Amino acid sequence: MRDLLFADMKRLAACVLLAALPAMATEPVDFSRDVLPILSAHCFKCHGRDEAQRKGKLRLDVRADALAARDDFRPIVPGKPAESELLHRVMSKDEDEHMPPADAGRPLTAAETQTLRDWIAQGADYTEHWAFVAPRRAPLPAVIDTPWPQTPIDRFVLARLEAEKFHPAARASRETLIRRATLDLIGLPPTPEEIETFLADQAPDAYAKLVDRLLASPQYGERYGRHWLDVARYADSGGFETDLFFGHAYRYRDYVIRSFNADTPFDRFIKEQIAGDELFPGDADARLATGLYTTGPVLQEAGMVAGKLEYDQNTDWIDTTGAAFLGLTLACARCHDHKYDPLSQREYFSLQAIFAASDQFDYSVEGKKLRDRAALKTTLKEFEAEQARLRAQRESDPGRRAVLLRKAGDAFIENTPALKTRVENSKKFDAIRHAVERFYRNPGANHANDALVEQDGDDNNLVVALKAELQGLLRGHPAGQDETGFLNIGIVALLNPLPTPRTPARVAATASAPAPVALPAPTPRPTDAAPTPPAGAKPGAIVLPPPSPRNFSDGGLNNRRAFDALTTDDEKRAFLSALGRQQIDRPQPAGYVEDLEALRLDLGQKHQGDSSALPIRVLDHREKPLAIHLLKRGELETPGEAVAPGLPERFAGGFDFDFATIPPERHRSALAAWIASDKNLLTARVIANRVWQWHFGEGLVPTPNDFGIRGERPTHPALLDWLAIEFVAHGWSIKYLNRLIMLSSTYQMAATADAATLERDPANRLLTRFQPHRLQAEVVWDSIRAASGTLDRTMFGLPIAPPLDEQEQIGNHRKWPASTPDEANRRAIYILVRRSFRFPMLAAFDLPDNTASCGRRDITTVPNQALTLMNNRTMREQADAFAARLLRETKGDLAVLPGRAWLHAYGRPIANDERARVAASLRARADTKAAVSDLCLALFNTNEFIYQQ
Amino acid sequence: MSSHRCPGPFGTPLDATSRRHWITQVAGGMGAWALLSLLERDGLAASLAPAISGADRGTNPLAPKPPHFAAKAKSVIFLMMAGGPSQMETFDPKPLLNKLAGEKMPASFGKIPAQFTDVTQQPLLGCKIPFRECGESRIPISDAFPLLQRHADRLAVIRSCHHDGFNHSPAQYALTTGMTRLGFPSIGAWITYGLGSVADNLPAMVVMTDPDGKIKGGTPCWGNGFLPAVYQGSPVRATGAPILYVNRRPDESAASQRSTLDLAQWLNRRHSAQTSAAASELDSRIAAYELAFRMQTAAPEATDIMRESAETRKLYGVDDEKTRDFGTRCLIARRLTERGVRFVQVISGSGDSKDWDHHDDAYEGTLRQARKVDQPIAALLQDLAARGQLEETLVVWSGEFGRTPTSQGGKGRDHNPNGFTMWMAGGGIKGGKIIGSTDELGLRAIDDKVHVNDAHATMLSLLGLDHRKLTYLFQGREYRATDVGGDNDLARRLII
Repeated sequence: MRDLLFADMKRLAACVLLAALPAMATEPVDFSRDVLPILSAHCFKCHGRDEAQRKGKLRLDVRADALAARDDFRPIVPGKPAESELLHRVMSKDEDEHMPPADAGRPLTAAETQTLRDWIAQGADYTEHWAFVAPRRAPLPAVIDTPWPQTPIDRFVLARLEAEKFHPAARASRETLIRRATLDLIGLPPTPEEIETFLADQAPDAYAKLVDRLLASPQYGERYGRHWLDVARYADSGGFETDLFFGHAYRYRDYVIRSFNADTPFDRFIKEQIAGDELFPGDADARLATGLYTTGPVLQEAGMVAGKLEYDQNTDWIDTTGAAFLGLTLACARCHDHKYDPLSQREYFSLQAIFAASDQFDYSVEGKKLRDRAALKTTLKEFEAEQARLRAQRESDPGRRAVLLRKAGDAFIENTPALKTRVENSKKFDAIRHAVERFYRNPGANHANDALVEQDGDDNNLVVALKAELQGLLRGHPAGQDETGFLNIGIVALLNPLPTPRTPARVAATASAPAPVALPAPTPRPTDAAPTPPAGAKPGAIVLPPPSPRNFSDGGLNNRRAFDALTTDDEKRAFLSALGRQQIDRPQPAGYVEDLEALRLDLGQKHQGDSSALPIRVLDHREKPLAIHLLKRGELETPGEAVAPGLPERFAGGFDFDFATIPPERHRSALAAWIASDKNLLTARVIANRVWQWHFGEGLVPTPNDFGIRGERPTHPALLDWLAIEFVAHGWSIKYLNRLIMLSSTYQMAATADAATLERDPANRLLTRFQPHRLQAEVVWDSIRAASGTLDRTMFGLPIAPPLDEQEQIGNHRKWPASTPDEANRRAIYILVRRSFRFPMLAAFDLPDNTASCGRRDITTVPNQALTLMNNRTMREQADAFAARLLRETKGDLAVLPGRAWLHAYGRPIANDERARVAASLRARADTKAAVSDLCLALFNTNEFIYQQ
Repeated sequence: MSSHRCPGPFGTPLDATSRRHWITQVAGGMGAWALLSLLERDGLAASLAPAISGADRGTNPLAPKPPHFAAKAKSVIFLMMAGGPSQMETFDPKPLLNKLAGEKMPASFGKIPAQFTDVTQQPLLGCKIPFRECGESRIPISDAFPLLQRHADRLAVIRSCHHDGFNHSPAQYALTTGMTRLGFPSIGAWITYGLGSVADNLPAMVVMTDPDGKIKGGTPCWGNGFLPAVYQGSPVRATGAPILYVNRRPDESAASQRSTLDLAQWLNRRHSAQTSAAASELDSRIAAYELAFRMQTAAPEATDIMRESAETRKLYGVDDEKTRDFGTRCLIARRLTERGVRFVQVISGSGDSKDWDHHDDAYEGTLRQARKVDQPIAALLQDLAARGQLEETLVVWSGEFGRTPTSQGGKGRDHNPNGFTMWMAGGGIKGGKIIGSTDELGLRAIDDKVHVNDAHATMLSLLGLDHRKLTYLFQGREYRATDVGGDNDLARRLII
């Protein structure tokens, strides 16, 4: 058996080898991928752009020069390798002729020579690298299976599938879709109730509504924000021996969560992070955004020289900026000109020079400058003191606590568009009802002080106009019906319905206020306005328009028209009075908030505001900018000439800033303007690709942090361009992109594929299906707690440190500042991220290294993941809690309990064979509680639980 | 002087471009053969056929891989003295130092950056520990290591080690990863990446710290850096659960755990059968669970030194309070390499003045720490040799740096990465050699300098790996374990 297997392996190895061979002649040679690296490594030193180094006045980096005829030869003759001197020279056995010269480097390998030959034979094109040309909007490709595409995305995907004779997988079941979408957007499994609601909603837009609900959820920012934190190499400490605590880092983390929730336009998000202090000085959040640059690794130990710290810091800043926003490996150009991408070492240091005037500074919460670079540290002690203070605040002084909680609750409502709309609608509803109620319940009272139903914004114009109009009508109304009260009724009645919910916050924030809406013309329109009196109605009776079937949405206009159709004042008064009475009984708006005070306190409890007094660390400016020198071989000890700030020439397109004329304290603004521009060749494509990857597990470009020549090619270049252009056209809205992608047929495919498809598209590069993928570490942690009902959804604030035992702390040199158990089940995004010690449970599930920007996490399968999920003590606690929940929810009925467990864990009904298998397991143990707990533990240890599919 | 050539594209990347394949790998810490045989034993091989046939077998990142050339050593025991032992008190005698003790260092020696002191201003500190020329090779070893002195002829003492990280954590990263910055794979991770694993039911790379688990550089000292997590070192403990979470909770019987696992695996197989798009990946996880279950038995067995004879335990000093901890770890290290573990990192100290960081007293400190490790190390060499395993087990001893010849506070010595001593034994090395030298006071390596990158290149060579070919594509660059260095690969000289 083993021999057989071994033979098999050898055969396989041979296949692998064959597959790995360089491009065959039939496959076109890609200049930037295949040829440029060879020329760059062997030729450009003497025949490149550096004039001082150039030998024989020959340059090979420009096609015209390389093709130009010399005295008696041409270096490159397109289509004719045999006549190309270049090829002759690299293959020559003559020591005098051979290139590169013996003292300049090793000869080319046979494979390299072959590549050059093929390239010349194919025409010696110097094609541009795909990512270094501006995105183009391609026409949507034609497809055969026209019903399949639901969005333009699908046209691109399907066209490719059809071209390669594939069929897309069927649409996933609705259970699968709600689970996929929920895990994807908020990082938690859907609850049984959410599943039930979704399955019951047979409307064609049920799925779209689901996506919208999830996008509006505050948990969205905790999932998509975490994706960004990988890119931002987020950590709460500096690493190395001192592993300085960053008491400020969480504010950046919270800023990221808030920004994703608010769908801050991504260009603004970039600007805030790079230069929030310069561009938006009054905006506290924009200032926190520069935390991107105050949370990097820092080696601050005794004996360090300041210059080294500054250099390390600048290096981290540029590497992070390049990888995160531009998808460029700028770091390669620190020691020498970039070997592949068009970036010189000098340009690299010009980028560093943009940051020369900037440094980290600490500010108090109130905004007072506390200390500068030299004294930057938050000690573990300070952190623990703050932990203790906040804990004490939580536990004692309920009066003050209520104030804080209300404040935090309000802040949360304010920052959550959907919730804000609900609360505003509820408030308006209450105001209307109260105003009308007061009048009817107590008609004799003086209502002069009753506030009119105030509407904000444009609606206020309506109120004012109506008020004027109604005043005449109501004057001289019979005694006891005082004017103010009736005015209220009139206004309410005619403004019925409530204003429709406002457009999403970010649109409102960016668009200028719309022009006031004019009232409908008050001309009588008897044909459509006078409702037909029902049969048997008394003459002169007021006939109310039928209640609008769609809540209040059309009622206002109908009422208005009916009102205008009436001729006498008495009729009008009677009409308004009747309408007013109806107001009292009208249904509450959807999502009506019964007890706002309770909601505020409850939310405050869950989302305790940022009440930490630890200093805020942000970017600000030095009194005197650092002098930046080109460092030979990237080493501080060998400084070269001084370098001025500047943008890399090849990428600067349209942004030829003269930094010399820009004050140093605006240099970052200039950098941000260039990066966050729709003219930037890279930015939009890089983020569009990330968002794609966050949904599918794999980007269209599989190397999200490297769009350079060494990175991988996009599988669907036209689609990536199209997404990038759409994204920018829609205000750089990430949520727009989320929605666009999730509403596509491509996203909604099932995770199934037949054998032939798997054989031909094993890695799903063509998107023949939805590729299942294991949940990320944080989602595993959160899902376990969500299923067991222990998840604490408190948002924001100081990092938490779930208690660890001695063994879990192997390697930890600093103290682990354990939180109290009441915080141990918060979402994993809030767990303290230490650079010198990784939280074991998360580390087991491929937590990224947070030294440098991580574009994509590894996904590995190792036994210690199994050990963690089987034996970690908190797993049994969670299983017990899950068991208790199930027993409670099913009142201990073991016949229905497994079904309930399946809904919580898998989001689908239990199948018959599963039910039978589980029943056998439950029967095997006498102790019901223990048996159910075992079942729960088993579920946590299944693939279906930790996979999104 | 190392060249500054970036590794560029000319290494041979071990297929790192697509990470999809990491997903389909099978069994962290396990040899593929072990997996196959275990699965056959369980009759699972057939049901898991998709997982272990086809492309997966070629892509299991821990499957044993052939070396680049014939290997001398198969595994490494890396004895890391965290804190930085003094070369002057251990393996690098400096007669001139004793002669000039109390005087300022002659200006001709120049200056080095140190953590706390200015070496040009401090008096030279003599060494009070006598040296002995040992064995046939007459290698000088100080009396701090009386038992190790007997093994002088097995040692290749490299006196000219250096790097540029003069604080503990950067230096510990230099020693373990070759770079003073964070974020790079440890040498054990590189080796595991290069060679895969042949350990049955055990992690491919193991680290054992002092019982308090502390180390100044933290987990990156045995981390995977930018390599996939599958290559990181697994901490192993001498007491309690040997591997994190490998022990069942005390209230859980093997039978009840098995029945829970049986249910989970039944569900997993059912799920896998219905999820064709990821069946092989899902089957890999099923296999990982079986291996994890077995690890629960295998790991405690592998680390149970009570299975050794009383004589052997005594040899390692397990009966002596002073040597018990390190002796136990050395003994476990031998048991682990015996079972195929590729790289065992045994750490003494954390980098604190209570252990090897002798700012306050180099004499007392060295004697105190050496007393803890001398007998265990001597026993390890003797035991490995007696079992015929020393030939294929490379033993490396080093601190993260050495110390200054000048004094700190009268009796102590400050950090000094400019010249320090490392020794290697076993793994095909012909002992009794001294490589390189420091200047007459021990301040700097001057002759035949061996950067940590060179030391790593040497280790890789002895294991059959060419440090220029062992690369991993990360952020657009083919990274090597030796960065742009490693040109002074000593392997060839050490084995003759």
